[in-house]
Amino acid sequence: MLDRPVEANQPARGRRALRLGVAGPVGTGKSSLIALICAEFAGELSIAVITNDIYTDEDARFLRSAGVLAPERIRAVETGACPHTAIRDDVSQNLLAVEDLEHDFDPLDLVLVESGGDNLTATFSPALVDAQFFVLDVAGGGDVARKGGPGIARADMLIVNKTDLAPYVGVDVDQMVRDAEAARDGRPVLALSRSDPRSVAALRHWLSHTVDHFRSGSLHPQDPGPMAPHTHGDGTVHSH
Amino acid sequence: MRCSDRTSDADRADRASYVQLVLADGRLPTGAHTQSAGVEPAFRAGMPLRQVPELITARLRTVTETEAATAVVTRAVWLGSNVPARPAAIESVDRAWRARTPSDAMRSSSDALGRGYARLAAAVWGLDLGGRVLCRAVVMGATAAAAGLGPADIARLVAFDDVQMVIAAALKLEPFDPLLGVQWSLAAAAEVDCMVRRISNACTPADIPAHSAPLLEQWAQQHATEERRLYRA
Repeated sequence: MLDRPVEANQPARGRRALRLGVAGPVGTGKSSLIALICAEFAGELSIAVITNDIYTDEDARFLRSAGVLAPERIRAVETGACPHTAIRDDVSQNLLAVEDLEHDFDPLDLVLVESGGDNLTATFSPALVDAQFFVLDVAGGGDVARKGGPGIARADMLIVNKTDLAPYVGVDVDQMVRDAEAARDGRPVLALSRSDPRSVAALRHWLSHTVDHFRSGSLHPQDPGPMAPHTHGDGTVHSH
Repeated sequence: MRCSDRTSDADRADRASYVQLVLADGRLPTGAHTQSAGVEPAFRAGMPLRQVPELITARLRTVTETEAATAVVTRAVWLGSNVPARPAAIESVDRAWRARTPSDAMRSSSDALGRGYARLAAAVWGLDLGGRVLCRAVVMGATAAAAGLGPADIARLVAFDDVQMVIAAALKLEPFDPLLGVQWSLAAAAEVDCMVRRISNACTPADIPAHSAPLLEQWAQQHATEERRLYRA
């Protein structure tokens, strides 16, 4: 019955836009990160955005009002109160929205897909995105990176956001980044603040590199996994 | 003898019944989790939770019967047409459904589900619908033809989907004992059977009933512009 691959009705990788997920808890700055990327790459990359809101289209409205991208390039997918489902186990409506944007604004270079801000466990399926950010912020507490989770441990890039707020919330950014690096086994961590040009340059560099990597056909989507690896009393370690 | 070598009628019926279960699973990846089958609009308009069974009955006698008949007719038209004539044939069924569905909000949510379903049917059965956006009922009818389901099977599947979508969304919006939801679903069986019997012999677009459901349509229209809703429709 399965006489053709399930991805047969998607454009071949490398010819379509890079699909980049932005996940992370509510309030950590996912929409602001997207606005920053749109502003940084304006005139350089053709970009479109999909938001997945728990309540309708709040994030889409924020992004449209930010004025960093033509409003018609920002679309909201409703998730029926299941933001996990919409980006992970049933990505149908998101894929249709991505394909619509690719069709309507052909050729697109980058589609950013924002998850509904939910909690530490929601990550994107590799069937929906080619790579993903996981966003934390210093105001959420310096210990969050240490708590781990699939996004923190294995997203393609972990952002520790709003570092400019660290002095006001009593968080040691360097320690938070070291904790995150320890949890990530060598995967990149970026301490980011919109008001810190060096961190914004590092974001630019990573994203440009990822776009090149995707276009060369050598970017293979990775699943951060449904749960963090954990140990059992008998010493076995696994990630389900 | 390998299992796949068995081809008696009884085996085909068994296979169809298994396929029907797969398609009836609420976790079928078609994006249906974004829809409430009209129950969120009903709650917003003030319908109390205890009237959910009546909403289910009202839908089964109106919009859902129209959808189920559309699926049955699509299946018949698909199987009765030459391969090259199929896209035009099912498009005429799609038009018949649209003419009987005055709410553009209802048509739009059905189109979104139809696209999700078409993606599934293309991947699993190689179903080629010509790349057009078709309503969910038409896509389900064509899928039934490709998957070997009979007319009553697909009518019952459309009905079951609707009943379960209402109850699952109601549970999320106004939580109650989920066991009551199972009782409501089973209590709808008699109404579903009546509806399936009414429309299982439909074979041309003219056979699709045009029931009016003004209140459901008005609620659907209001919902399309509601703020802070959980479900698209």
